[in-house]
Amino acid sequence: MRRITNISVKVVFVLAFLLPVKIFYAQVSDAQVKAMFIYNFLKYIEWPIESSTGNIKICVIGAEDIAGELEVLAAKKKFNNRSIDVTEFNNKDRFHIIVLANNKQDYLNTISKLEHLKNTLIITNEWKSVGKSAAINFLRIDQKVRFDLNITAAKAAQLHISDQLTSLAHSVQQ
Amino acid sequence: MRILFLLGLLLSSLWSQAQEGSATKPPTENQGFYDLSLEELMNIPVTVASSTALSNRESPGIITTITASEIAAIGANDLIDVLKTIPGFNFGVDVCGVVGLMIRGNWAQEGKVLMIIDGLRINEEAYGTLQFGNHFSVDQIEKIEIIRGPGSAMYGGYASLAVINITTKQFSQTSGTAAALNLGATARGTVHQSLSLDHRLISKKTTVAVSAFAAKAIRSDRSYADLAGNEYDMLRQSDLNNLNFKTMIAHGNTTAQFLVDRYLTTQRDAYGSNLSQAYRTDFNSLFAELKHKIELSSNHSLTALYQFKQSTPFLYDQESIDEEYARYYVNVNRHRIDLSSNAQLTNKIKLLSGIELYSDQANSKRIESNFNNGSNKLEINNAIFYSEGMYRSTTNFNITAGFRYHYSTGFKAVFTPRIALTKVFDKLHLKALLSQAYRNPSIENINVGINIAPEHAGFLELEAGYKFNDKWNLTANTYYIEKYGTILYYFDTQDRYINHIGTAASLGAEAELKFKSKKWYININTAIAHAVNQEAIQTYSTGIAGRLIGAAYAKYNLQINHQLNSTFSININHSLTGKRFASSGFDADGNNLMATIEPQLFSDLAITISNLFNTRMKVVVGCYNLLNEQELFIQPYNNEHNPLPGLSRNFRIKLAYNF
Repeated sequence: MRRITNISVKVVFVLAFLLPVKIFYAQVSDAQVKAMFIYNFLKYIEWPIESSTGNIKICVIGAEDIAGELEVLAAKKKFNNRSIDVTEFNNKDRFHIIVLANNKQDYLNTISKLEHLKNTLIITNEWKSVGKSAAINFLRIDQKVRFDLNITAAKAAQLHISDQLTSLAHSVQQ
Repeated sequence: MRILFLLGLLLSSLWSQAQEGSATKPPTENQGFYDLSLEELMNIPVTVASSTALSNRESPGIITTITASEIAAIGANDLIDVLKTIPGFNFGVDVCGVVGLMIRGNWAQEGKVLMIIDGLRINEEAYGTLQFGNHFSVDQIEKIEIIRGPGSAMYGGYASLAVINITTKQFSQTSGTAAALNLGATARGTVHQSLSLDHRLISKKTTVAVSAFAAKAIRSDRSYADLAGNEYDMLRQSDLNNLNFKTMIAHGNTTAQFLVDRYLTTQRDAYGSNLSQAYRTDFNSLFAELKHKIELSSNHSLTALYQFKQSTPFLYDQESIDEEYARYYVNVNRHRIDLSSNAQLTNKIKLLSGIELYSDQANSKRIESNFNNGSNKLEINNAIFYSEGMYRSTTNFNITAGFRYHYSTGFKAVFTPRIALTKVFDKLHLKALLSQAYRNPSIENINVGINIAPEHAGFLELEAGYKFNDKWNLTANTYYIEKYGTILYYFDTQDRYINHIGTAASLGAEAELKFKSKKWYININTAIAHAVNQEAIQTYSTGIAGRLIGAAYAKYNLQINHQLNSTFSININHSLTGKRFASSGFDADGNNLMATIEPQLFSDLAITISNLFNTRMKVVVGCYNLLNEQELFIQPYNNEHNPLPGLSRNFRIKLAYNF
């Protein structure tokens, strides 16, 4: 056994030394990637001035795997020195982003009736189509995550979407 | 060899920095996946299975998940520190100084709890046991998922009472190097020293990870007294040493792993009376795995797996004084192939099916001790078919149904079905789980057994949970277990394994209340276990209604963690174990004699200092067993063995550095 251990250490040593290092993720989950998408959206979307300070509040309804990954991300990263809070839905708090699972469509009505959520970015997770008041819908195409954009919904929420984000969208609904 | 290894870590770390063009800027913890741009994220293929990943509230089982940060918060330097906080988990002593698990009041040590590390099944194959205490590094763990109930339908014949599924940092998403040094001491001297090294390189198409763990500790600094009152000092005679090395290489959808584990125990306590000197017992294991996954479509994948395991447990092959310590030298080679299909058939239905083939080849390395078949070789071949389907409705109502059919040349075939219903309302969740489970006879059960058959168990579990808000969460469950055909080591003149004829049942409940905010983490949990017919199996019987040897009727854990600021956090653990009974031999009629262990309170304190001196150094200082309670590992069967002491009050320090 000692001989096998010896050989294995040498093999790993040689491999570890020879390999070039660049970022790659062999076993990345759907939820991990979507959480990172959401983080990246922050770079391309501007909220009205009253929502541009303080912690970034993200509410996830139904998609607990994405919520879990967002919590992991929030523990590791801030956005422009602003902490990220991942919370559950309630009728009182303001949220920058609300993520809705595909079986939580009935929440759209509730959200649309709440005045303090009028500037909220609604992201739907793999709905058949991007909803009327959702600005972004996640899709999965060929095992890769994509997103549709609804510019009308974004404008209605007074969110400014950068051209760069528009150019990355799978489809854009004007 | 060690110099070469360390040099490898150093050079590859330097190489990784040079490749990223940041030789002057050290890599941060976040570097890697969490720095990807949107364009880069769009090119990452995602796993099929994870797209339907379930939260603990939806999972078709009673689940506890522990993350690396939770392990770090309690300042654990051993897996026992972590697992003792799990509802329904307790520890007892087996033979040869080995400590194993009691689960829900049942002795689970011999083949009834499965431990998996990165997909490698850790139980040794001669008896199916696990060895706890200074075995494997907690600093290398990314996450532990525990099924606190039957897992046989998916995980097979060592998973009848629980599954401990450990994922190490080798499978985390970012490159990095980490080192952790743990030291512990009591008033009588050093009791724990361990060093863990962990290195991951993630390249364009390949991931290479290596980790090593070297540890030296003792079970106790107290004295053990045998039934006649003869004592021996365990300070220098209860060594628990471990050396293991693990490597993982992933290229695209192909993964290869290799693990070498050398663990040893030292002890003088035997059956009845102490031995004249301490003897060392070795547990050597070697694991290798090659796995390839084929993505047929975005909804269907196939996985082919080959694993090799060599277990050489309970190894002692030297002369002993007056042959007082038995020689044993058997190794078991397992070759295992698993082909599985994971398909999302529709938006609502998912199906996982597979075929598993494995062969166990046992070799008796001592010429004069053949197996009972008259040969020094014993081979058992097995074929298994398993399948599990899940229906997920749009109203968060899930039905999971599965089975496992296990055919073996060593014992009667076994069919194990299970069905689980889960429903998540807005804040409330409910689970109803009906499962069968089995314990397959291990090599030595078959060798030293009389027509030994698998042990069966039936489970009914109900869980309800309520998530008050994103901070407060309450879950409670109850269970009823019936075991029949329990595999027993029967103390007749031939000392053979037999199946117990009849049923042994237990009933219990567990509850857990969690509060989690940015600054506070509070976990209160309790477990109650009641033996319905404690007299069913004599060797486990106390003669007292509802009570089995070694099992506390109730246990309460309280953990409070407070993050004072970005640098300091404090953690307090209290564990109150109810009254227990330990065997103290037999009376003149052969009935078990019982000693009473009054309720005991164990308290631990840990203070964590992060980013010490503005570096990536983390320091954890702690005092464990603060009240200096006499920790006791009770032998949960009557083998004329008194409870084995654990450590007295001990002070610990952990120095951890992420490069």
